[in-house]
Amino acid sequence: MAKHNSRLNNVRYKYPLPIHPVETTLPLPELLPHNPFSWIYWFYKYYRLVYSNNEDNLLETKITIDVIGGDSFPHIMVRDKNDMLYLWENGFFGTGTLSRSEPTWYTRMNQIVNGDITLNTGDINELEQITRRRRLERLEFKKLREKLQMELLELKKQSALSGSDIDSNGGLDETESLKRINDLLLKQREQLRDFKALQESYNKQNIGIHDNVMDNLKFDYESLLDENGDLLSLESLELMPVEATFLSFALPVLNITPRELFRKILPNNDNSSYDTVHSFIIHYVAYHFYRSHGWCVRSGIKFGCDYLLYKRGPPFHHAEFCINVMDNDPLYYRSNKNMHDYTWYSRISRVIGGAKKTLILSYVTRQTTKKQIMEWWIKGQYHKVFNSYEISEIIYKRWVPGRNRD
Amino acid sequence: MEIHSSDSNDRSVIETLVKENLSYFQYWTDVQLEDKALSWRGTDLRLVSGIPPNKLSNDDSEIQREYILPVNMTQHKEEFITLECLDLVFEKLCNKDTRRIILGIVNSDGTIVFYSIYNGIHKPKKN
Amino acid sequence: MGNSSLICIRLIVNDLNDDESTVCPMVFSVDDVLKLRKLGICGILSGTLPTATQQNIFLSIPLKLMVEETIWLVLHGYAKLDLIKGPMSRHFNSILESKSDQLWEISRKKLLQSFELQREYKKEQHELKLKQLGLEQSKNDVSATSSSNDNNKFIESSLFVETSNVSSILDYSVDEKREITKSSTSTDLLHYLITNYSTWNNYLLYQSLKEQSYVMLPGGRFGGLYIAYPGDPLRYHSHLTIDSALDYYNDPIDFISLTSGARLGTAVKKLWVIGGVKENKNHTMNETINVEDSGLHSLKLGTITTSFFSIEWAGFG
Repeated sequence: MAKHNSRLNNVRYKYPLPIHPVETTLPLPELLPHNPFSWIYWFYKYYRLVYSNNEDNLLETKITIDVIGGDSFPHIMVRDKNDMLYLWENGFFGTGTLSRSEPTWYTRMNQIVNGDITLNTGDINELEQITRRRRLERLEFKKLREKLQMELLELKKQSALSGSDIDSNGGLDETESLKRINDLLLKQREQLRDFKALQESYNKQNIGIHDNVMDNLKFDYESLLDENGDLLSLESLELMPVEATFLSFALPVLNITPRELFRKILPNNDNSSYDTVHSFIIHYVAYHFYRSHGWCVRSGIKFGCDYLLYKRGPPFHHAEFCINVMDNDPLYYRSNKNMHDYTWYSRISRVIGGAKKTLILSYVTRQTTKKQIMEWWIKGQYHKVFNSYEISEIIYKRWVPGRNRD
Repeated sequence: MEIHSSDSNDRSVIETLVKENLSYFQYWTDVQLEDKALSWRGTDLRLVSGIPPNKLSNDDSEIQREYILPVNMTQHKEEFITLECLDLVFEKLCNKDTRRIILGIVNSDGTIVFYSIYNGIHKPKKN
Repeated sequence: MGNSSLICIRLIVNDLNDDESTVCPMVFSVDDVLKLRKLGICGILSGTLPTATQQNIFLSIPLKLMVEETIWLVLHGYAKLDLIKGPMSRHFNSILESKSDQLWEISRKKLLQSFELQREYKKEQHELKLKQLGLEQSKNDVSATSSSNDNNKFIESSLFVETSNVSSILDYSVDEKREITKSSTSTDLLHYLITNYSTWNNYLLYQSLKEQSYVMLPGGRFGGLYIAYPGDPLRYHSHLTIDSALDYYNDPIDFISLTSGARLGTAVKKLWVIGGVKENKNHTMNETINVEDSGLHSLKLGTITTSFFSIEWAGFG
């Protein structure tokens, strides 16, 4: 099944980015190895595609965004269902506001509303359901464990009581009660193991817990339907400010110019000083840097850092690296907010190490004066702005002498 | 139901995002915005409340109404909630016997994370 | 209380460069280690053999203490400080061997330097209070030994301008220590520790937790300042990680740091605790000084309250 999935994924997530320079409007002709004429024709088409009319490579219609929340805490939303899907499938941009990452809320809810959930055979085994099921299983397991612990405590109390009046009663001697406690312990351990195994077997057959999960929900499905009884589409895809910038400044995907975008997502952009754009610039520079090195870059907030790097994208592998953008500008990093003490490093590396990922500190250094940057910024020469920064990296890892000897 | 660009108020945006997330993603019921407001640095803070689908802690005897304080988190700016503010939230927006509220932290990456916050030093929940 | 019953904490000093040095409080006597344990202070055993350095379960004396533990012990009259002078501590020695008011002055300068990094209005408040205390004029003749006693009083007060209600506790206790040890060097050392190696609010969090009978160990491994045990660490699991003190009125809570702390806490079954020191805003310097008669112990946290919040993952989202 894993193989099957990965083949499907390879087809579905064929493109690493939302523009496809070779083969958008003009697919390449078939190349027949034994026919030299087909070669010539192929190269002619290829040449036309790549070097001639670049307008052909653009999307037919650019994607519209909706910025809510004002410029201090902007949220950049994509509302159109097809656009949401397109951005997800072509480079994994954005996160569904009602999903863990891919915007799957509509599909999920449709299943529940139509009662299809028990027909679920693995193809539509959504991440959200798996997570939910795991958490509930864990909860049930803990309940059982607590019950068993109470039993054990009870037995221990009893034997302590009977132990105290051995002589008068001729009751259980110490070894006997110890044996009983050990027996119970063994029995309980087995019980817990069996319970886990049962849960796992349910998992494989996709039955059990999650059926009654959905039944138990006292959820008002009616409120989700329109007058025709069709499910409303309530989910949006949210883009991080850096993602939106990349899709406007670096790739012509969004229906908004960079200048217009910055006006909406950065405070007081019209009379901005370097201080108001500095943090955004270094974060964008890092984002752009890793995107242009072919990584799929997504938010790392879950792990307390800035970005996660995926080799291809979330459906293929786990993220291997966590990026934390470090301010290498002496004017700023000495300020309280940006000065990290030892506990910060310890904390973030424990969190990331616990998730089996590698923490990379990514130092962004400004190469020219603030005044120069602002001149370019105000003129809208953003490529010059972003080009004036340099990145250098350091891997930070917890090292335990006892454990890292081999 | 959807929020549009015209609603530029920070608070109403994150209050709605938290409400939608609880109702349609976490399957909470009876989710509402509480009336009581706390004026804090020029903004009115309100709690969102609702009934979760299961007990949030094994220490609770039964499912109870939970109170959520929506807050913003972005990569570039800090929020303005201080310890003093949290004390005021417990004092002004909660009942006398409220032990915990939930922080609904709205990120700029489309996710919302929820953390229980207890007034004072608290023992961790069982298991 | 006689000198013999005091725990002896030795400060090991290393110079980093001309104006910076590190200080490490160590206890070398097993009897003292036992006394400390009974007081709920564990420290970290750090003595090892050069040939078996990896055997860190079998470490022995000396016991390394946190600076907060050291301050608590001295302020509460349980311990005295002693400096181990070595070739590494040239700079430190030169400070201590010079007149004590010069030490005060260096401490004061350091504190002022740290103030400078803080927000603008804090500075304004600071200057306001300096003026109130009339320190402005006395600045110039600090080096003059004749008025050094008066100056010291003023300088001591100014050191804790942010937490003015606290400084006079120190003032008082320092006087008490003078009587006990008859050694101004020990109090100079204490003062040096407070101003250079800890923030006062972190210490107050420590003291507040200690009064709630928690036992603290360093929390670096868990991404915090301290971890706290409800009793002796050999009997209990620790269930709290305490973050560094926040300024109760001014520091915004950093939610990125909070979520990673709480996330880590959930993984190791600890609550993440943030806290800060609530100052009594109406409180004036004179009121505190008036309390001196009632003795150190009743003074402890009289006008200071700390505020804590415990955080854990809510279990969803």
